[in-house]
Amino acid sequence: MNKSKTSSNIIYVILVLIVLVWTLLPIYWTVTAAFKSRIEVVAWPPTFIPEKPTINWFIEVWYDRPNPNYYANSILAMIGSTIIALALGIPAAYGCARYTFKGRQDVLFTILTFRFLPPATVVMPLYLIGRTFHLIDTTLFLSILYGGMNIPIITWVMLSYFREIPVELEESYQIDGYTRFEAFRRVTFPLARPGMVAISMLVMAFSFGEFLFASILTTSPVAKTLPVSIAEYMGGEWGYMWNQMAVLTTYGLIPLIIIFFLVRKNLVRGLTFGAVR
Amino acid sequence: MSKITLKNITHIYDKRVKAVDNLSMEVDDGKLVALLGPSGCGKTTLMRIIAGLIYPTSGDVYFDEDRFTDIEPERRNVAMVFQFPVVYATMSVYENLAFPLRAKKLGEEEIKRKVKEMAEFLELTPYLEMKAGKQNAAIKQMTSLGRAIIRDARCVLLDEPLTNIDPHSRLILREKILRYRAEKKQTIVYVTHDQSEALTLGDKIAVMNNGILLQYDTSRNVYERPASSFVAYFIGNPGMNLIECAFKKVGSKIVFESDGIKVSLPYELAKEVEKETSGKVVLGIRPEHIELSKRKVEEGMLGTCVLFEDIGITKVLNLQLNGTKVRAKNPEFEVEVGEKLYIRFPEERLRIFNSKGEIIL
Repeated sequence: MNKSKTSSNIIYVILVLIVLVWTLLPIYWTVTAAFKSRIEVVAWPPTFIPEKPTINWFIEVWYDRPNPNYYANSILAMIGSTIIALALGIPAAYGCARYTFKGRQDVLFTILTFRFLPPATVVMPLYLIGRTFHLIDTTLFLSILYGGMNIPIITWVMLSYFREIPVELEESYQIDGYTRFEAFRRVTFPLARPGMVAISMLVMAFSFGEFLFASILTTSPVAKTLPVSIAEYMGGEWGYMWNQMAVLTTYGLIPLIIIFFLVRKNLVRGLTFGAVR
Repeated sequence: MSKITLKNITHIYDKRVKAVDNLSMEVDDGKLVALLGPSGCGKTTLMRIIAGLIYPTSGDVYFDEDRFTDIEPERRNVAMVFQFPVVYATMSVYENLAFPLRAKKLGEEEIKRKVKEMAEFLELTPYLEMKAGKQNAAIKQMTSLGRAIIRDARCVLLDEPLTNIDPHSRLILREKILRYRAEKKQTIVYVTHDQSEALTLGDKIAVMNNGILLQYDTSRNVYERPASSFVAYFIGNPGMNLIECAFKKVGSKIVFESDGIKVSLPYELAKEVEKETSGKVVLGIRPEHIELSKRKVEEGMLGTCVLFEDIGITKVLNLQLNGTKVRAKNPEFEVEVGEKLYIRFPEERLRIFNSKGEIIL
């Protein structure tokens, strides 16, 4: 009995190590590449710790091209799209969870179908729409698109979240003399917050890293995003500029890591909701 | 403290399920009415209509003389306790009790005094500063009751408040409800599927089934003169024996007969049954009213005891009279399974229902 427990513990530890290496090694590799010299980054055998670490790339990347602009655009699109997705997805989820109306299932299914479409198939139409409304090369357009793409996932995740919160809680608030909106704000919203935080993280990560739409629908430092900028370091007279790409990726990790640390408590609760009840 | 009047209330869910069917009733100011019926009979729906949580498909709700049918729950000043203890988990018990008072924008001093009083009455004082969400179901339900009765609501609605708590706390909570009612003369509607709760608590009892109000009367009348065979069977433990019989006039008597059963009533008493054209009626007799004897008695029917249950306070006998099964209840009668007995239905205790289940006698 004791022996089998030890061996299952060992398997558990090995599995955790595999997952850790799988997720952390690429990040480690990228971050260290940002500190390596142009020679060392392509050296064989590769070095795991930079031999002569340098921060020159960080400075060069910041001043060489309008990367600060791209960076800001990415963050704006991330925040904008998350706000749009939450503002539309949460009321949709709440409405479908709490009210019965004709065609509710159809509404939910229709929302889900938006997710079935491969993005590549809609890029050209979107470009034409954007041109008509003078939205090409604007952060607003990206925010709307990213927001729209994430409404389905927010709606569906929050739907099950709201359904788990007993309706009596809200009713009790109303009976105690508060309006229905107040009941939502004071009971349901706080209870659903961990879920919203968790799902917002996913939306943010998606919006921050989106490449396809951004590469086609933005053309100048006014709206171009970080992933597009990274791609532009590929090819050209200098060949693949691994160091610059690694630096930009490292910059890109920072906001997500900060947000993650700010919300980590809610995140864990949000992701385990339902599983522990 | 108001009188509640329901006029022709009908509620249909999703255009298909009729939960309440043309129901009218009045709850007098200061009375406790127990709404009794099996699960799914529409009693909770009716309660929610009174509270304003759902609007009836048709019909009207009045408090005193004012129509409240379309008024939002927060403006009705009705208090309600739900079946599952609802507390605001992140708040302390104190804040829970103070909550409806804050909605009314009372002063902090007054809130403090009222909460203290209420906590003492409900024995919640030791828990006041603790988080409500961390308490057991009984304390939670007590808190939830306190939150309902701390303000002077028009009426208090209790939706099976005792169902989800342990038996000991149930007694305490029940006593608190009765004391509160006696002191405040509050109008209370009490939903339950437990008939002993309904019979002991209610000034009047409303028995519902399939969304229809079957009988609305005092406990005594509901018990002794059930309006229909459903009420007769539903009330009582075990419920009334219902035996389908053919009847015919023999001399100055009417004789009711079924397999193993033969009862006669004076014609003058039972002549109403003659209106029943099908020739059949349902005879009802409560198990506790059946007379049992081991010796032959006049008009006694012979039966065999097939099951004998001693439940302490009383004894329940299952009797077989040829093809008919009857249950009898008697606190003293001792008998062996398989023993033959003489059984008599005293005529003043007999009830007769027509084929639709409506009472004739």
